[in-house]
Amino acid sequence: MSTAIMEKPMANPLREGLVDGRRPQPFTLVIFGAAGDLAHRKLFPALYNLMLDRLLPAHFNIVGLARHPYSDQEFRKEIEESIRHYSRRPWDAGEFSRFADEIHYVTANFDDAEAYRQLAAILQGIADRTHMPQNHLFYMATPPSFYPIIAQNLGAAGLNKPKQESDWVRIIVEKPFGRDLASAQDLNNDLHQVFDERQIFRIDHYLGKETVQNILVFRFANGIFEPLWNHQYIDHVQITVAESLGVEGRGSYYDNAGAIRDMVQNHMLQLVSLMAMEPPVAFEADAVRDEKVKVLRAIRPFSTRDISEYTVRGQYESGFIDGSPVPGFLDEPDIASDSRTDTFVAMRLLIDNWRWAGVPFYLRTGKRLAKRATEIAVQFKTAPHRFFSQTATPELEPNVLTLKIQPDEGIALRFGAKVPGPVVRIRTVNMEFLYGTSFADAAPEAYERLLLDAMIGDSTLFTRKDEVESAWTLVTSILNGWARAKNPIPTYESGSWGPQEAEQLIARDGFRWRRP
Amino acid sequence: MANSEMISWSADDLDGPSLLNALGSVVPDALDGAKPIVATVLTLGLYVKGVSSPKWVSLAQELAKQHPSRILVINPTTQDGQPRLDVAISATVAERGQGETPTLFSECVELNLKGGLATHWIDFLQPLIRPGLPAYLWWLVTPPGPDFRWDLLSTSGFTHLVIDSKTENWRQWLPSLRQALAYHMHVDDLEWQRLRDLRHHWAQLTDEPRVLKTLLNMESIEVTAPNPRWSQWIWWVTWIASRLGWNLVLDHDRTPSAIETDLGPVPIMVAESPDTTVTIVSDNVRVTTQISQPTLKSVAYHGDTAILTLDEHRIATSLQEDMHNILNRGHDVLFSQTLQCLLAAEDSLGGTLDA
Ligand SMILES: NC(=O)c1ccc[n+]([C@@H]2O[C@H](COP(=O)([O-])OP(=O)(O)OC[C@H]3O[C@@H](n4cnc5c(N)ncnc54)[C@H](OP(=O)(O)O)[C@@H]3O)[C@@H](O)[C@H]2O)c1
Repeated sequence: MSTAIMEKPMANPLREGLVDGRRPQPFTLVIFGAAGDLAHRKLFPALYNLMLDRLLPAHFNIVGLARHPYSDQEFRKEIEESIRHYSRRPWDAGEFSRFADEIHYVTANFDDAEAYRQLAAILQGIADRTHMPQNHLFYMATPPSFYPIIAQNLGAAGLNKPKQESDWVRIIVEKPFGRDLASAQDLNNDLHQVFDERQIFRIDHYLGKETVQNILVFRFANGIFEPLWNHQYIDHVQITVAESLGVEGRGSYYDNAGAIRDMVQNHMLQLVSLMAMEPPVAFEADAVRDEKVKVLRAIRPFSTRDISEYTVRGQYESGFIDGSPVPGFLDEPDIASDSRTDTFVAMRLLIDNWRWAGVPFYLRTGKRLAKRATEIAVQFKTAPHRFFSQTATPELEPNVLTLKIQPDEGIALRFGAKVPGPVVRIRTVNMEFLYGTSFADAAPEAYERLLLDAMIGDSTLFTRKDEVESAWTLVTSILNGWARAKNPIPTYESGSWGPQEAEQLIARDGFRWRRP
Repeated sequence: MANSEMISWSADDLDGPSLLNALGSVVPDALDGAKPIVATVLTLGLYVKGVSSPKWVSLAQELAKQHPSRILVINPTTQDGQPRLDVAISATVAERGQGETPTLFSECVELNLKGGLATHWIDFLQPLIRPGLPAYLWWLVTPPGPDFRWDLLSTSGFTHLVIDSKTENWRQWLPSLRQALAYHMHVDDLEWQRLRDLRHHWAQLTDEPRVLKTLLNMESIEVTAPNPRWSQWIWWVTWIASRLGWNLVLDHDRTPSAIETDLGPVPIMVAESPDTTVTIVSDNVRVTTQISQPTLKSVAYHGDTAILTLDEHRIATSLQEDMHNILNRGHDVLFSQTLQCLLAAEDSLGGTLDA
């Protein structure tokens, strides 16, 4: 009888302490939809920049799959061209000569089972030639309707499980992840038929942004803010994601989605979670995501009446952006002339937990607004004792801490200071920290960080099943409420800050939107 | 940095108060009285003592483009004669939006010190160090002498000491590093920084269980190099000893001669050769890394059969990039642990090397 003892592989002591040592093991990246926009504009340049930063292992391979016919050689050329066009750092022939050991391309339709046998043969061929571990990262850069089809075919071809215990197989799923709760649950079920949750990496590229990650650093690495981060000191929070662009050629996608699906369900609820979460026990994937999910679950559900009172949707009309005339949403290409799609959303959320009791979170996002700006503004309660009420300062403003996410990344604190002179006169001043001046190094692109994390197997910055479903639960209830409402959709002029109704929403609570 | 402007100013035979005064007024004077927002995130002192190459000032200015700093280039030219200070200031000011306050991005202060000032430069520097921010002293050429006042340096505001053990025999730096640590400064070495590739390469090699097993059971270490005094191999073996919790043994001239492993002493053989290699050997496996500029090439042999190869491209870094990397990555705790391992080995020799 064999007495083999199952030994746990020993941790590598030489890896310990390599703070900048997050280098993945050799891998093969398989991109479904490799002929598409995302692969060209984001994925190839991200890989190239990771390589320039020496964050990739010495050996890796790429396999692309899409309908467009390319030979392997032409596909390599495509990769080169997209790096030349879109990389944040210039193309360098010497560097590029080391980009991937093997590059292959399969011309096929995603629903063709033969394509997956071909893919399996290519992966086996790579393994036989290179003797590398069979670590496979599948990237779904495809229309969302193909996510379940690809997963199912990968399973049928036996590509969903690692060949050996020490190898890994992971899958990255792009946004949008469903269009309501039911479709997100269906997609989760479909993926789980084939992959374990820990193999699935759902992308929300907002989480790859340096300034979004900085929210956690700001909150949890600085002793001074956390004690104030609750209902005793915070009056309310405003989160703005404003775009000046319109639908920009993505009319048919956008008309099916709208601002609430495109922005709120994913990015804005991520910002809410990061701002409102409790400190996780460790900066580790499940601990962080447990806390984020708790926030989503604590958001007070909307009754039908709340939906009409505390959510506002809008659609842009023609107007002027940067002095140039722009068409209204209904006149954009690929938009139905009777479309009721929201290009603007504002809402008030309440988080029913100890920390945030009674602190409203106001969210607003829209296209064709006056200016491109993403920021989170935390307004503090005014000083309890109006010490200076007898002075010549009637308009003393409350303190506001603003986390600016784009375009001028930084942090600003507004406070009152004495105007020089013999009487006490107080003026509001801003103390500003700008990333661009303090850290002049170009920040990596969100996709660089996210690809690297997926290769390493760190899912902290990816959304978990329960997180996606909790977010959809909230958003679906709003979508259902809107579907029942028959009143016309409020409109706003392009270049404004949204419909009047959004001003009324916040004014009812006695506040005003900030002008970012 | 878009729309930046360089403001320059120089004066000879200045005293301390006039220098401070100049630092406060040079930029506003050039901006018609406007006081800029100061965006510097650190103070960077470069102690260059008469060594004019590389061009420290331009090197420092390039660094400040990435790490907005107040740079103090400290050049004590001679300790003889009357005290004298000649100063050149160059400040980079970035324009923000129209009508907005300009930002003072970096200031480079070149201090040529003579006479008593060349000796007592620490006192002189104190008011120039920006409070509350990290302050690095880069001491890259000859190490300080035995009578250097580490106590004064550590209270002056400098929190980090950065050396370059490549430029001098590494042993000469040891007493200085010991002193800096005793005064609670963070210590880093550019040579350690340059070893990063090799450390990562070995971490990748030992991800492979057979190589890790060889490391844990090694019977000897072999090093070849054109210059056996090359400090990187010393950091490499000390790093391995420290990671595995083993003791390093030094010979009488402070060169590592063995590692005391759990299984007994592992001798370190160093030989002069045109090729730079590091090798570990166990009873049946030999893992060797050939270190050359464009590549790190490792092969693990079982007998004569190659069972694993790992080739990696290396990036040649300039001095400026090495410095940038240290500022970017911050103090490396792993280096402190490695240094402690080396100092512990020296302690067990009894008595330390004088500076
Ligand atoms: N583009 C972005 O910046 C961006 C940002 C965030 C999220 N996303 C998400 O990423 C995904 C991809 O977006 P994208 O902009 O790259 O789309 P895209 O440009 O339309 O690319 C889709 C890719 O899928 C391939 N494809 C489509 N149907 C196929 C089929 N039946 N069989 C084989 N290949 C097929 C296309 O190949 P052929 O051209 O050869 O047909 C193309 O390579 C989408 O889910 C999108 O929502 C994109």
